[in-house]
Amino acid sequence: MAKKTISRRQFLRKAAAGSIGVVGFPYFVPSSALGKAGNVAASPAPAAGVGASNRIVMGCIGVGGMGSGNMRGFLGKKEVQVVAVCDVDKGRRDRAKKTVDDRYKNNDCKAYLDFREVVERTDIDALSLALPDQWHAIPAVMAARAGKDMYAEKPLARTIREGRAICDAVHRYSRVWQTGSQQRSGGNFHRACELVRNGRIGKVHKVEVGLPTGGSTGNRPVQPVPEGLDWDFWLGPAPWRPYCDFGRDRCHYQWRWIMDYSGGQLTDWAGHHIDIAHWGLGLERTGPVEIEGRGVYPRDGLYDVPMAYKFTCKYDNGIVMTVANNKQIPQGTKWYGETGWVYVKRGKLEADPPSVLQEKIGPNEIKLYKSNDHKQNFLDCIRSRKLTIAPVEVGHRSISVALLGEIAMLLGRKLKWNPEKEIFLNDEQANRMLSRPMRSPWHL
Amino acid sequence: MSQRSKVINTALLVVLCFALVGDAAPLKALIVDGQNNHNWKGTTPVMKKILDGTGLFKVDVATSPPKGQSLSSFKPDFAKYDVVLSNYNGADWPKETQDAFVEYVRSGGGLVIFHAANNSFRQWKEYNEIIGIRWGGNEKTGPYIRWRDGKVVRDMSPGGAGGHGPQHAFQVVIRNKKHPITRGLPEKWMHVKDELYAKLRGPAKNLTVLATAYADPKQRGTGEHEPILFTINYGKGRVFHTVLGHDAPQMECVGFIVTLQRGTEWAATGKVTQKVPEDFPSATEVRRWKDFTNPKPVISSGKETEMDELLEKVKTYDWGQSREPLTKLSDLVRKAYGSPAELRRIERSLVEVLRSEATRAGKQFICRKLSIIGTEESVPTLGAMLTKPKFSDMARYALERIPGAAVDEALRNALQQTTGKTKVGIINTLGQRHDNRAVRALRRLIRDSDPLTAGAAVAALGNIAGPRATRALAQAKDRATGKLRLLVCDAYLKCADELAAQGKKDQALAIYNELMKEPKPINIAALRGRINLLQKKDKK
Repeated sequence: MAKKTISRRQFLRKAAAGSIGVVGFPYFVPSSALGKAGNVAASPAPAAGVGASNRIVMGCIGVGGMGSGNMRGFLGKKEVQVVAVCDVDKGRRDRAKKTVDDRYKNNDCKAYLDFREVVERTDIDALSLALPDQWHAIPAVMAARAGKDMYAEKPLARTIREGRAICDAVHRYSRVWQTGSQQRSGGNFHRACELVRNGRIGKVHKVEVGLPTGGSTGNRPVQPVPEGLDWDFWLGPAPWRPYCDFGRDRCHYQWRWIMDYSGGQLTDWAGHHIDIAHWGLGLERTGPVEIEGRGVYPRDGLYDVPMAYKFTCKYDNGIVMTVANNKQIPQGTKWYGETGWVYVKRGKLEADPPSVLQEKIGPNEIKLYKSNDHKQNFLDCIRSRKLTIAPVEVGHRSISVALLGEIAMLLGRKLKWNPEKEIFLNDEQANRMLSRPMRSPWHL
Repeated sequence: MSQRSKVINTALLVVLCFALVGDAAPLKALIVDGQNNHNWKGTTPVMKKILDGTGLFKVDVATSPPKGQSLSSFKPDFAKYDVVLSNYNGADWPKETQDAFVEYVRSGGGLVIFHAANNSFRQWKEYNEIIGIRWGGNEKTGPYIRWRDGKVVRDMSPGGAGGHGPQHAFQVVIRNKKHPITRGLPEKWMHVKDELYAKLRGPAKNLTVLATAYADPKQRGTGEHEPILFTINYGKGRVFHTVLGHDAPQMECVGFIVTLQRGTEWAATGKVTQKVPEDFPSATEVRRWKDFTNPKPVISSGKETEMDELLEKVKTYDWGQSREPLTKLSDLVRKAYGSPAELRRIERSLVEVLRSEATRAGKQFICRKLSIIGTEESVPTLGAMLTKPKFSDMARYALERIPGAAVDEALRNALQQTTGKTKVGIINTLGQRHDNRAVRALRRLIRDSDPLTAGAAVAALGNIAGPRATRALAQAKDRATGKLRLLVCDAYLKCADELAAQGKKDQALAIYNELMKEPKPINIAALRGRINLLQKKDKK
């Protein structure tokens, strides 16, 4: 039934890939065609008394842990003016508004419950999105349609179809997109990937990715919805259930361990170490062809995502990626080549032989995109209309690996995947799991 | 997460992680028999049947030449197997076979010693170390192993090794609840009428007592708690030793069957993945499985199957309660994935729950299952739920994923009978299913007075694309204003992208050109579409 849309997706993707062959080449639409700064130049002066008209006007949707952290990051950028914050929990949006107003020493930041009102504001150029995973696709697609550029938290989406819908919308409207996979802009990750890409450990045949281990909890009683929280809005497209405290700070953190909202540590961290694995392999715009593995799930209690997990992905070129929780594979990314290995995680870069780490990358070798500041890179790209260091298709392909692993583990069998068409081969049940029906009135 | 649950999880994980990513291939098991003062011809097929009941093993049998004949030709290839089970109590094996056996165990092979197998090879030093304690011997053989005051006591009193009183039913007491073999078993359970081996003695190195039974002096017993189930580590090898099971009738005991199954898996792999069956013997009552297999199959046409019991629990399940019945039901569904006939039977019983007075949470769970395994057979019941606001979302959760024209038809019918949010949900699902036959109804809804309904209809047409949907959107664009116009243009763009993807460039280009007259950001998207299309042309 999905034949048409598949071809449309391929069209959009091919078109996108066609114009980004060289990093730094303006993509989709020459910036000259739109005016140098795109939407930015046309923005009205944001808040009275602040407004240099060339500032990037931003709204922050979702201002919890990650969201308020990202917001503070943008508040520290002199070229940014934050004018709107949005959260379904009143306490959080009020706190965020106060942070913004304190920073600008005025009372101008508007606080919203409904993200659609932020998306509709024509004075806003860019959005920071940091929401539970079930809420990743809908605001992103709406915002692209409204011409916003986006800095959005990983994982890209809760399902593969939702991820593809985000990619399509971002490509269709030529938006600048930065996935919050900030490891690309810091630490040793760039160096590790450049060594691997330039053959310093020979031809790579396998890569191991270790991600955190999950846990379980007891059953939690249904409770009245706390003051100030719009629970129905928080659930959004996810299946209805009555409110209960998820274990810390209402529903705001531990949703990560409930399958309706997240895939657990696996999908939470895929946007980091799987993303880096792909970067080092140059497989950022494709996916595996075979996936197989097993997960260990809590048999009772509120949480239902895998605690332990291990799955292998075979790529078309024969490379095998194994992803597991860090009790089975050490946390981080480790590539194995013919002549050695390179291992990288936060705060650590190792290689065998160790001399690999002394290697210099010559002028005619592959130079990977360099960014030292993930948010700055996004802001620079808003102005230049160039690709960011973590563009949308790449973010989609990183999380796809985890989502494919999730489906393979839930079904308990080996799956064959066509990364071009993004469908499973000869597995009708698996294909059903590529998308999730949304609770009304939400849709893509 | 609480500190306590963290500790529990860590403990759980340490064990579970080893259980991950096992080879899908069955474990290879070898039963050795051919000589025994017991009915080996009767018990070996029972052992095989019991192992087959787990679905984990591929079982071979190596039968030695009969008593009195030369054993020089008897050379089973132990090294080929994950686990060897000895049902042998006879003449000494040739040296070569003995060496191969010891080397097999030492280097990590699994071994199960069954009942009278511990009577054999009295003079073979390594064998006695491998099996821990034995029947036949004296104080030179090693200590008696007794359970006294909560611990193992090595009793060096002089005396013979092995003995039993008359057969009687006796209680087995688990002494080590953390071992993979015994974890989850009831602490005390009744074994059927059988011999209670007593006074076993031997080197007992690296021996772990899992369970004991009290040898009651009234039954001419020792008055001691005698080891009944135990393990020995020899080199890298794991040995499970059960003294139970004199003959086939004794092997009907569910306790015997389950411990043999679990013990064999542990010996083979060091872990146990099997679940403990629910009808395990209690502390006072024996439980037998006639035919040595679990009489409660996953699914059967009769009542009171495991499935039926779980479905009853699902009917009363509510949020906040234990999810365990749901997990167990999911396991049963997963087990049936490979069998369409089984899945159809399960589907029918799931649908029954939807027709009952089950809780909302219970019905939602059922709909999640049907979203994966449902067929057109579920459609009448799910279709009837579509028009009920409280159940419509969960019905769509299942229906949206179920293939077939019957689903589309049910959705189109429900479209006419619903309003508001319920209707919006159905519109969205028709769009997701790319139902061309819904275009006529959807194009009318673009003019609906409710903006949510109109917007949903527009988005659905964009998702359907196709010639009729494209025409509907082209016409709608000329009439629409404000926010709706932006949505129509977005959907129309999708149709153009679709046409471009199909190679219908002129039609696509016409739409892009038309949309370039729209305000930002539609014109940007139209321009991008145009450029892509023209770039593609240039390449050709």
